[in-house]
Amino acid sequence: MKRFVGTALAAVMLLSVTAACTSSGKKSNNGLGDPGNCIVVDVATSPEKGDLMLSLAKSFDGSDQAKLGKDCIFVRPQNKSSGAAAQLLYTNWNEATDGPRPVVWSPAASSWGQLVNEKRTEAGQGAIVPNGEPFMLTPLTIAMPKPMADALGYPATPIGWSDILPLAKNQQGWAAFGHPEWGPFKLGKTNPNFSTSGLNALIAQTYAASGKTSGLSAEDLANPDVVSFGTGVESSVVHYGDTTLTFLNNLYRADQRGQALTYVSAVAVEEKSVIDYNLGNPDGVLSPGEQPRPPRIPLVAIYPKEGTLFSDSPYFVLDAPWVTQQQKDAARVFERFVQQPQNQQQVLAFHFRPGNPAVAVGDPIVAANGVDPSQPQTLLEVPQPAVLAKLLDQWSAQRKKARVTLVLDVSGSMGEQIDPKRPSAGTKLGLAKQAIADAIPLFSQDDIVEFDIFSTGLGDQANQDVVQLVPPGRVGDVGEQLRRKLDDLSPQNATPLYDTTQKLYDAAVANFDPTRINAVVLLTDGKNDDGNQGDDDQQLQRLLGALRSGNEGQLSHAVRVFPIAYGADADVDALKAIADASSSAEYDAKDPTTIDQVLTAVISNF
Amino acid sequence: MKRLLAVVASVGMIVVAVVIRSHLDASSTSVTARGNNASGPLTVVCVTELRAACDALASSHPELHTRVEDASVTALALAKGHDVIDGWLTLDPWPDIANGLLSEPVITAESALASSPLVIAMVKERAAVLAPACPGGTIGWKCLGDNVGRRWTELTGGVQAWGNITVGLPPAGSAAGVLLFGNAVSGYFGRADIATNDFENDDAFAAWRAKVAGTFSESDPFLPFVQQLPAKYAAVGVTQAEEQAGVGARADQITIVQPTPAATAIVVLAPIGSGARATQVEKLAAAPALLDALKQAGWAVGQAPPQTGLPAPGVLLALSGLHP
Repeated sequence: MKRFVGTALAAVMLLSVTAACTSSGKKSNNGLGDPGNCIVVDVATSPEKGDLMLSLAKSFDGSDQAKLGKDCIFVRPQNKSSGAAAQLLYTNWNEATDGPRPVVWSPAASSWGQLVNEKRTEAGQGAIVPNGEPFMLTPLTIAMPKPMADALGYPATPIGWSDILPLAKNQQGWAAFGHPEWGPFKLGKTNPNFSTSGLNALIAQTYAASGKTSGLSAEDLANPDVVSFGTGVESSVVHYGDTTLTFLNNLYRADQRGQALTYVSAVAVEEKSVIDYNLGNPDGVLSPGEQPRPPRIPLVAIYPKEGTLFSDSPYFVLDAPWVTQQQKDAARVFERFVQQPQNQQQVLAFHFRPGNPAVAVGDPIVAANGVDPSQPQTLLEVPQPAVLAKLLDQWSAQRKKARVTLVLDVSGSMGEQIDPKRPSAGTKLGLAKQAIADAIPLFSQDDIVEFDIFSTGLGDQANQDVVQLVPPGRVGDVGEQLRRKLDDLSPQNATPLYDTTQKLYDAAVANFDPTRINAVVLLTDGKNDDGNQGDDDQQLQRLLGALRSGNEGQLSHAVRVFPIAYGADADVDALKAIADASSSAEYDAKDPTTIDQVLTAVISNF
Repeated sequence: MKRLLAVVASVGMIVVAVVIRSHLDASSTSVTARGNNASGPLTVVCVTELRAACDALASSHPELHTRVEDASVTALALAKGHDVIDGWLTLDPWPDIANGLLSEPVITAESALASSPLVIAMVKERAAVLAPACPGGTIGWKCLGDNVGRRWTELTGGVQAWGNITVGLPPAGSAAGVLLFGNAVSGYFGRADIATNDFENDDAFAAWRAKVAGTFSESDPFLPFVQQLPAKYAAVGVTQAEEQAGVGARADQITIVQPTPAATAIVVLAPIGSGARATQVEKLAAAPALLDALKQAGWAVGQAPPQTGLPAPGVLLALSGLHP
C-alpha cells in the first residue's frame, strides 16, 4: 500500500502541474464577474470539462434559476485535475495557493471520490465525499486508424485486449495482415499512475488476461499467464506519458504529413477523444483562429469485446467542514440546472454522453464520427483498492523499460538567480540539479540512463560542447553516480542547442534498443547560441529533418526528444518544433520553481 | 452437499448482514436527542427514495426540519432509542419493520399517500433471450436469481459481447432494497405469505438467496442502468414510479417485467409516538406540495392498495438481517 501511496503522490505531483497551468485559482474567475452578496458555490472540475462547466455557470449565474429562497447563487468553477484535487482534499487545501476550497467537486471518475475518503479515513479524518450522480459519461476505447481496424476485420470481427497481445508479439507486425508498409504494431497508452484512461486500460488488459469481467484478485495478478500477458502488451508501447492528448496531437501531425499509419497503431483513449480527433480537434481545444480540419485517416473506436470502463464525471456536493448547509442547498440548485435537458444538450456538444436519460445519445456520438452509441455491451468492475494497488506495483515491473539520455544545459544563464529579490531561492542551475536528483527514483531501476551536460568550452581542453558525465547504465547501478556528478556542476558559457541535440540524438539512434522506449530528455533555458548565428536555421532544419525521418516509416528507429523549456528565456518555439518532429511533447517549466513537477511529468513517459 | 449448502446459506446471511451493517456505518448521521414533548420545529425524516418529495415539503414548510437517509438508518436509530424525529416519510411496511426492532412500538399510525408497483426493468434485447430459459417463458425473480452471473452465451441467442448476466438491486439498507428483496423471495416461493421457517432449512433457497444478495448495489442502480445501457446491468429492481420518471429517451430499449406475486411500494407518512406533535405530522400528509412532488416523481397519489403484496414485516426484517 505504501508503494501505491507513493505512486499516487507522484501522480498528484504531476497533476498539480496541470492544475497549476489550468487553474483559475484566485487570480481570475474566468470572466464570471463579482459574486456580490450571492451564495458562492465554488466548483472544482476536471479540466476536460472545464469549458463546459464554465459555460453552464455563465448561463446560470444571474439567471432566474440562480436563487435559493431570497438569496442569489453564484457558481464559480475552477479547473483542477482529478488527482490534484483529490490530494488537496485529503491533505490540506490551501486557498492562498490552490484557489477556493470547493463546495462541489467533479473529477473525471467516481473512483477519485473513493480514494479521498479512503485516504482521509486512514488519516483519522472523516469522509467528505458522498455519493454523486454522474452528469456525463464517456467509455474507454481502443482507438485505431480506420485502415488498420479494417485490416483486422472490425467491427464484424470483435476485437479486445486479448487480440492486442498477439498483435504486439507478432514478429511480422502488420505484414501478417498484408501491410508490411505499416511496420510493427505500436500501442499508445498513458501512465496508469497519472492518467485515468491509462489506469482503466491497465485494468481492462488485466481482466482480459484473467478471463474475468469482475472480481479481479491478487491471485489473478500473480498468475504467470496474467503476468506474461501484461508484459507482452506493454512491449508494444511507443511511450507512456501523462495525457492521451500527446498521442492524439502527434498522430494528427503525422496524419498531416501522410504518416499516420507508422506513428501508432492503436491508442487507449476515451470515446470523446476519438470524436474530437475525427472532427479535426485532437486536443479538444480550439485556439483563437484555429479551424478544425478532419484528419486524412480517421480513427475508429473499438469497444473491447471483454468489456470496458466509463469515466462518469460525478457531481459531488462535499460534506466538508467548510461547506455550509446553505451552500449545499445552493449546489443542489445548480445540479438540477446542469441536469436540465437543454443543458445536457451542451454535454453532447462537448462529445460526452449525457447523464440525464431524458436526452438521447445522438449526434455527434454517431458512426460517422468513428464511434458506436450502442456500445459498450458490457462493463468491467473496478477492482478493490488493495488489488488496484498491487496492479500498479506490478505494472512498474511489467512496463516497457526505457533508455534515456538526460541532457542538462549548463550555460552561463543557468547561473541566474530565480528570484533576484530573494537570493536564498538559489539559481536556475541549482534548482535543476536538485530536481534531477529528486527525479532519479521515478525511473525504474532497470531503465538505462546516461547523463550529459552541454555548453561551449567544456572538457579538459575547453573545446567540447557536450560532455558525458555518466555513461549508459541501469538506474539501479548509476543513480548514485549521477547524483554525485550533479554536485560538481557550475554554469559555463554559451548554448549550442541545435548541434548538441543533433549529436545526442544521432548517438541515441546508433545505440537504439528495440526492446525499450528510446528517448532524449533535453533541459535548456536559452536560445541556440554557438557563436555563429549564420548557420542556426540550417542546423535546426537539419535536426528537424533527421528527427522526422527517424520517426517515420516502417523501419524507423524512433528516438523521441522531450525538450523542457526552462525559465523565461527558453526558446519555446524551437523546442516545440523539436518535440513535434520527433512525435513527443514539449514541457513547459518557464516558471523554474515548477521544474520538479515538470520532470515528474516528463518521466511519466517512461 | 447439504453441508455445503448450509455453508452457502450462512455465507449468504452474513453477506446481507455485513452489507447492511457497512451501509449503516457509512450512512449514520449524528443526531441530537430530543423528546417527543419537546418544543421547537418538527423533524421529519425521509427515505432516500423520496428525496424530491422531502425537498418539496421542506420548501413549502420552512418551519420544518427535514433529513434524508436510508430507511435502515432511521429504523436502527429508533431501535437504539434515539428519539429524535417526529415523522417518517417512508415506504410501507418500514414502520412495522422498525417496530419489530423495538420492545415497545413507537409508530402506531400512518397515512398512505401514494403507491407504485415493484417491477423489474430489463434490457429489452436481453430479456428476449432470457425469457425462454425461464419457467413458462416468463421472467421473474426466481429465474433471474437462478441465472445471475452466468455467461449470456450459455443461453440460446446470447452474445459473447454481453458478458455475464448482471442484476442490480438497490442498497440492502434502503427502503426499496428490502422491499424488492422481499418481493424477489416471494417470487422464489411463488407466494407472499411465507414465514421465516419456510426458508430456514431450505438449502436450495439459501444458495439462491446468496446469489441475489450479491446483487445489492452501493447506490440506486436504476440511473447507472439507464445511463450505461445496455452494459451495466441486464436487469434492475425498481419502483415503476422511478422507472417511468427516469427512463427518459431510452424507454424503447427497456422492457418492464411485472413479477409474480405482484407487490407495491406504498408511500406513508408515519408520526413517531403520539400527542400534539404527532397530530401536526399527520396534517402534513395532506400538504399539496408533498403530494404534487410525489406525483411528479411518478407515484400514483391516493388510492393506495390496502396491502403491499409483500411478505410480512417480520419476514422482511429477518431477510434484511437488521438487528438492534
